[in-house]
Amino acid sequence: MLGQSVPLVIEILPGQAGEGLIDIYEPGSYEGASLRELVYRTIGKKNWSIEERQILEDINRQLSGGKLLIGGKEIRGPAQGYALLERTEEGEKYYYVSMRAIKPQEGGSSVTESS
Amino acid sequence: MLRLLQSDTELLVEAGFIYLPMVFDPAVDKEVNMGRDGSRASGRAPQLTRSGDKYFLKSLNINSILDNYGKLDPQTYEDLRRNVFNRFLCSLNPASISIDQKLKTIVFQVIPHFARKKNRLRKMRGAASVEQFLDLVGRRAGIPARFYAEAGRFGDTFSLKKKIRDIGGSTVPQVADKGGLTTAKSFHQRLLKALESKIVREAKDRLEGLLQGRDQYADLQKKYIALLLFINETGDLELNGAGFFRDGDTPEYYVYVHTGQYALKDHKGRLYLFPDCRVAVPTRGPLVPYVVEKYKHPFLWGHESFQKICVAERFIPEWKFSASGAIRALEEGINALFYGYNSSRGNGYHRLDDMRMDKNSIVFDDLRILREDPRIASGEIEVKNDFY
Repeated sequence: MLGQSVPLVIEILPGQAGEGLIDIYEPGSYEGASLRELVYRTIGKKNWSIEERQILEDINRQLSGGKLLIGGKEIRGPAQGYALLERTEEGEKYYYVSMRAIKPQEGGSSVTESS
Repeated sequence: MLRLLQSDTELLVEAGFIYLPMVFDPAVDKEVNMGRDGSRASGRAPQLTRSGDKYFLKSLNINSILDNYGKLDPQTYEDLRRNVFNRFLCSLNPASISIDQKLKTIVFQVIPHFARKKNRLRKMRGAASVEQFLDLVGRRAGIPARFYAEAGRFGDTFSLKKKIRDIGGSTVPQVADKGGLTTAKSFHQRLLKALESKIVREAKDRLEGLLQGRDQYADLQKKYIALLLFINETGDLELNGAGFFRDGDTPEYYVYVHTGQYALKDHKGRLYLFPDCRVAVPTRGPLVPYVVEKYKHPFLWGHESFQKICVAERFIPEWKFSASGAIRALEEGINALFYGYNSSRGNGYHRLDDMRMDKNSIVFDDLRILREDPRIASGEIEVKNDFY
């Protein structure tokens, strides 16, 4: 359980990008919601900077036929299953969940066909 | 040709051509007289001409010899070029006059896309700027002081323009200007002087062109110019899992991203641990992904270094280097290695659990690890294709 009343930070990384879209949910705004719901709430927001909008476009491109993966598995259930408790440099606690938006390229053909 | 130019043979230089001596013949005499009238009328160099009582036949165009001297006598040409560099250009350090545009694209756009930022929590909101990334690179790279000094001079194009203008005189002596009879040896000396001037002029043109390219760096801070000059010289850089290296002695590069260790599963759910490798894309097209290290994988044909990754058919590589083309190719390559292998289909060149053992088979048994491996259980190593 996310037992402490601290913000939840989620980061959605498009493909193999080193930087993702970061969103913060204040305590009371994320409990009870699935991680998938939070992600779609985040990417539905409109108040992004120009740089963030670029990342958002990349995420949407990946999610068109793609998946949200954590540790090679599709995300499922509430954020609590994935959240790590971290601290800012100032010592403030927060939960952090990072995932990748990936459109798997099922490249090649089966061994019996040509690749 | 070279033997002729080093001999004592008498030559006639006229109208931009070398004329070689020929024996007298009354028919030639008639043709010379006719030819002179015809050529004068057309303004062209005559085929045959006379100087005193000697007859000469038009042979080689002098400008053509100058343009192709490097092929006629490569050794002398190279000596001349080296001499010009040592006398006029080495103090200017042409390498520091301009920074390769490809390098700027790699450092400012491609690497920052992949390099994992460590300071995400400080900013919390808002994408990190390229400048923040470059600051980090600068701190890690340990740039020697001389590059900051060079960066300070980088903006001073005025004095550099003057230096370039002053190199080796501004006019190229016209070897054909001094016409008339001469010996081949003497003509050869004049030719070499003209050739040297031509090399100087070409070097000046090149340097001036490079100098113009500096305009694009006008808004860049000195510390970033120092960083670019530094990596322009070192030819490689790596930060947080992404980097590049120069392709031998060429002005081309490979941009790469480390995969880190990862695992794939076969159709029975057994796991295979793949070592870290670098997925790289060349800056010279086509922009397709390779694995740099000696490596085996269902999407690589053999077990060797620099293998092309088998990617989806719909991927059409770009031919001209660009940040977007390189990023797309790198993404495609990593995507194929991580997520491309469908354990139930067994797609690719090889199956992880291939039992056929024919001559093209690659065996992956040595990569097998247990599901209970602590690195898997802790999440340190991800099973990338666990969603199939």
